[in-house]
Amino acid sequence: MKVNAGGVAESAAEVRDGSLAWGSMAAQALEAHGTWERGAVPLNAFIAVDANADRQRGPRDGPLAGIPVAVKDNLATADFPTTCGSRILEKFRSPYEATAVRRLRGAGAVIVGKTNMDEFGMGSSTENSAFGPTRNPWRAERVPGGSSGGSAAAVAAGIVPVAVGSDTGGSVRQPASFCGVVGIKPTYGRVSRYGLVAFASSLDQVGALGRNVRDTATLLEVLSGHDPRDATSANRPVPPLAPACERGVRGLVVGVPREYFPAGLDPVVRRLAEHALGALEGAGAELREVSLPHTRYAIPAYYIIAPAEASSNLARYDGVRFGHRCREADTTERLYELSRSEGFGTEVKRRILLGTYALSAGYYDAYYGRAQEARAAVAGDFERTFGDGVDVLFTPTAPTPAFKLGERVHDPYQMYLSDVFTVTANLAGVPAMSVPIGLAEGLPVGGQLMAAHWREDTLLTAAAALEAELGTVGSPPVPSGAEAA
Amino acid sequence: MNKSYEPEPGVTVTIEEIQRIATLARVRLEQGEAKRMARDMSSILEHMAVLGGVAPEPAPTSGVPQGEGSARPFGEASDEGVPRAGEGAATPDPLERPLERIAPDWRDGLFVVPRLPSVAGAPGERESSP
Repeated sequence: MKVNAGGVAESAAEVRDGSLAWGSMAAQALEAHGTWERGAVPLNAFIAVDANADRQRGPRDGPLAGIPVAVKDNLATADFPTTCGSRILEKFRSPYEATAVRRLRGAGAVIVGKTNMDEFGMGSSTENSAFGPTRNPWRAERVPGGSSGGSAAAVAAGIVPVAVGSDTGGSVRQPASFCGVVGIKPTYGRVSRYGLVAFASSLDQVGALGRNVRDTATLLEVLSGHDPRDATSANRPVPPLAPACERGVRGLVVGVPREYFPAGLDPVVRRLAEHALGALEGAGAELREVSLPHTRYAIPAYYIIAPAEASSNLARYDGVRFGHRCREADTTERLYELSRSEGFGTEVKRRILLGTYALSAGYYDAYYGRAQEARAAVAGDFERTFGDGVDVLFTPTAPTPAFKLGERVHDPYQMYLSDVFTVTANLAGVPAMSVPIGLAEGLPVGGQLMAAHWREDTLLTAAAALEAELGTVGSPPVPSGAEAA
Repeated sequence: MNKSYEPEPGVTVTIEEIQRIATLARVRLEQGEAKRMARDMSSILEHMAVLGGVAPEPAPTSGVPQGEGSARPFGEASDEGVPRAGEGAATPDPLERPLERIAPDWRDGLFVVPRLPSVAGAPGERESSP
């Protein structure tokens, strides 16, 4: 069972010309969701689902007319709760909608539900959710990646053809890699963050996931564009992205940064990445070894800057203005402390403490100041590389395929290392995407592409070429009982 | 927290420090939780020591792209006609004006504000307070 077996653009065209009924794809999405939830191990990709999604109405002339879309639960929606995967926002309903959501509705999309995620985006496995972990559709004992694990799993399971996520340090790309789908984090400023619940404001970016490059490009184009409500939104035109998927890579210069192929890299990931590079070369691209020497500072810098910003952004959750409120507090100070302690999970508390520590007197220069210098150095690496004529960089998306549930939850730094290849793009603000490059013992592996600011079109060109050369990784087996559903 | 705790072997962040940070962050930690956090934070911060080797460069304040990126765009140029970064930078900041031009009332280099009703007529008060 797969919803919307044709491409998103083609299916939307059929809805527009009346040959496909408006709610038919949403009805299939609801059916597929039910099938996965009735399986031996429920997928748990969604926190909330609109059981009447097939009756939603919207404009029939848009590029996503009638297309079922899943939205990560940190984007504000008026008709669903917006929990961020956290107990502290368990019953929160936003009084307004995120610009990304408004753009989806304006394009005719049917929002079928809100997807599961690591609490406030803090995690790489979707195990840090107050609503339970999401499973990897390829193998239920494996994580789907995170923090947009629900969105990636929903696409991989064939419930929706495209989904929206957010990416602060790899939260779209790493789950895309683990689930065998395409995921793109655009340039910082390309998509409005208005209504995206803030984790680390200088790093957060809304991203798109899809089962293939073309569908992902279609969704990204809908999401992109200037928004005066977001001061960091770029006021620059959005080029048509679909044509970029047809361009071909002849003459494209692909940089291969040696720091992303360390000795300890999983050998199967290395083999698949080298095979993908061979495919790009075979399609006419020129490979060039490059160095991004400050890459080794990226994880330490990221895990200072992001928690520092989070400690500030999450200060607003105090039991008074938003969300969960402790009923037993006898003073205002205790109300704040107890509401936050009850409402936040362990990883969120850990990062708030880490950020508060890094910003506190006596440690600011040693940690936060140094991290900002490292960030500048990482960004400088990209600027020099793209300035030297490299069009796109290719790396593995993650050092390993999907790991087992529970395998890394007790070792935070090991979990943080899942993002070792992805955080650099967030630190530099450049666009990056993950595209499936093969299977390792039945688990998908993704290759990452990174380009200069605003060159999402170049990413899509290279990704489409990889997809054409390597083929897709297919779909995970549907749980038993699916055919009867 | 009245009692001081010695750090565990290899731990660089003490439980006392964790509790102080938790108070600043308005998070309440039970003793066992504080102990785990101290251990985790110490382990994480050990990996941050590498930051000491960074050569200083101008630090960005956000992820907002500062330049145009690729010097040789591949394929069709998608952003022709778009102003380059830095263009228009000469436009003066509207807030960069002398304070006296922003102030509703200004005297002797000080803002003049209306008298508060609660102190109106108080002995020794001037006609208006800066």
